[in-house]
Amino acid sequence: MASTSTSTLSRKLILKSSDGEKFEVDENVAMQSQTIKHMIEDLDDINSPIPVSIVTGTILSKVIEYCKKHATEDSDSDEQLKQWDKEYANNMDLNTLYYLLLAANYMEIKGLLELITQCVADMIKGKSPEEIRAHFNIKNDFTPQEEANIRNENPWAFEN
Amino acid sequence: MNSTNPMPPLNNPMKISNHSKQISWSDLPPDLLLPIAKRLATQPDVFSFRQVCKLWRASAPLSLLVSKNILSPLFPHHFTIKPDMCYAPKHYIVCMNCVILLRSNVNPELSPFIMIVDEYRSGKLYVRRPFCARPLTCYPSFGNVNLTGDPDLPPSLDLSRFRVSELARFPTLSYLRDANRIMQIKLYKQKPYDYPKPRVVLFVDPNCENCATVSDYTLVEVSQYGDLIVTRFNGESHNKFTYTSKKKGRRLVDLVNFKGKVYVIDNYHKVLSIDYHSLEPSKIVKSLKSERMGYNKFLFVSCNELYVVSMWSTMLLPLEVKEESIDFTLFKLNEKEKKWDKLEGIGDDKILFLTFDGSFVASTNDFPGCKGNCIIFFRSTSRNLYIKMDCRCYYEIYVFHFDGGDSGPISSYPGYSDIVVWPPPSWLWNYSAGSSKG
Repeated sequence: MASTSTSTLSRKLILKSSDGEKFEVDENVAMQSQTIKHMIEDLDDINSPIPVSIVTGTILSKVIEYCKKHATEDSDSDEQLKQWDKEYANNMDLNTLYYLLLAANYMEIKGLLELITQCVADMIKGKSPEEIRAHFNIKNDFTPQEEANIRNENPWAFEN
Repeated sequence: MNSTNPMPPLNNPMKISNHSKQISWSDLPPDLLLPIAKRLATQPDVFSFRQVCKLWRASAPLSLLVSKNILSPLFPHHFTIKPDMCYAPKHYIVCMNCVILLRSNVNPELSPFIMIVDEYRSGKLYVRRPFCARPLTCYPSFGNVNLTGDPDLPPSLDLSRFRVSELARFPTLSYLRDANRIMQIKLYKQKPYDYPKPRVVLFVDPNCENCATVSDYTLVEVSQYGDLIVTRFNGESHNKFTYTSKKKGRRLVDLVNFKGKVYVIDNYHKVLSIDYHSLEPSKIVKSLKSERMGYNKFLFVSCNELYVVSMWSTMLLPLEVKEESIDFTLFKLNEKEKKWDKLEGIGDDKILFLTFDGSFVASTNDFPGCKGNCIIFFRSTSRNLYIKMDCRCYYEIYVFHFDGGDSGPISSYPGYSDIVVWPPPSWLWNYSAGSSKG
């Protein structure tokens, strides 16, 4: 990917969010999204805005922030990048995280999707079902009978 | 309900300002729930995930449990160290174990039963029996070997049939030789130590407590010679350092993870703490000269305070002693004045357990038959105090009371013996009879 980026480095693309906000980004930044990559291939006029239909401007700016950081690969070590990812994810509130997850999925940005799913998994870690429900604002929709059956699932497999 | 109230809650005005309503994550598409569930590292986490709501349950199939750990997301962990001597072991495994207390669901009035389980294979718990048995020093590297077949226990225990509470967990370090050979390590051949070590402690890089990987961990052990051996799990090569006491006759005897740092104690009650990054030991408490030197010392943490108990026995005297008498002395760390404060007991509501892997304090609420202010420990039954390297016998469980100073085999204390004596009480296996091997 580094070999092709040299010729296209200066090309700019315009991304348009669902609420009409426009973002000008370098092509190699936008190309981290597989969805946009495929859209560009079909695009006749590179200067017309590319619609990112389900993502709002607030979320799209966060997505672009991530892609920019990860487009410039050489500037940081793996360790620094990991640290940056961690702080990036930790600074999100739950609602942003939710929409970011949907956006990363829709835009097919593998790294971001992995980062957010891991971040959510870390939030679930060690919590009881009730605590998870409270944290993620989820309603318990099991009947008492179903709940009793579920509780019989055995989390401890023993072996002699 | 939030939509009717545009005012953000006062306690969290920053985060709510953009989104006045907290989204329910039950609306998340199932194809995004699966990747989240896949990233959960332990079986209990997957079970909790499945209990949240119908959609989440449907998104996380039980097949996800395969190969997931139970006690810890990161352990068991295998690693290799280039041996510094030709006969030293090369392959190691760090496992987690857990001290659990089982109560009958059917009749909670029955005495509870205490067990130690080791997870040396992902997703399988091995019951240590009896309670006082030392962990297996070596495990075969491969294969489904049934190591400890025992007719006293059913092949699998369905813990959902019991009330289970966790009392403590400790890491253990074991050696692996090669694929099929179990290595015999003859510890303490020369020295009459009653308790086998090494005892190990894990501590994590303080910078990454929430998202630590194995490489953020450091393993510290006290060797049989009283040295401290530090193993860093960073990357492919595990680096090993050794700390040896410079003064003659000094050896380190126990260690504990206290407030995220490793605290080690030597045979003269001197305490050092070790910094994660520099691995520099710094002195916390200097040697205790006035006290009778304890034979064995056990560090333990209770209510965020560090204690040490030392055990002394008349068997140590160079005399023919008919009746053995055992005594324990208890100290609490006084961090401000950098000294040990001597205590008369641990409290009427507390029981101290000394196990092979670490010491912990339990509440008498969990053990209705026990008086409290006592120690449950075990010792070699052989008169010469030499260690037999068998994993299951030659140990006897003892009780010591701070009040009165009496001690003796647990069998002579009726209320106590129900809890820890092998074989387990009948309610344990009656209700799991017929369940298939898990």
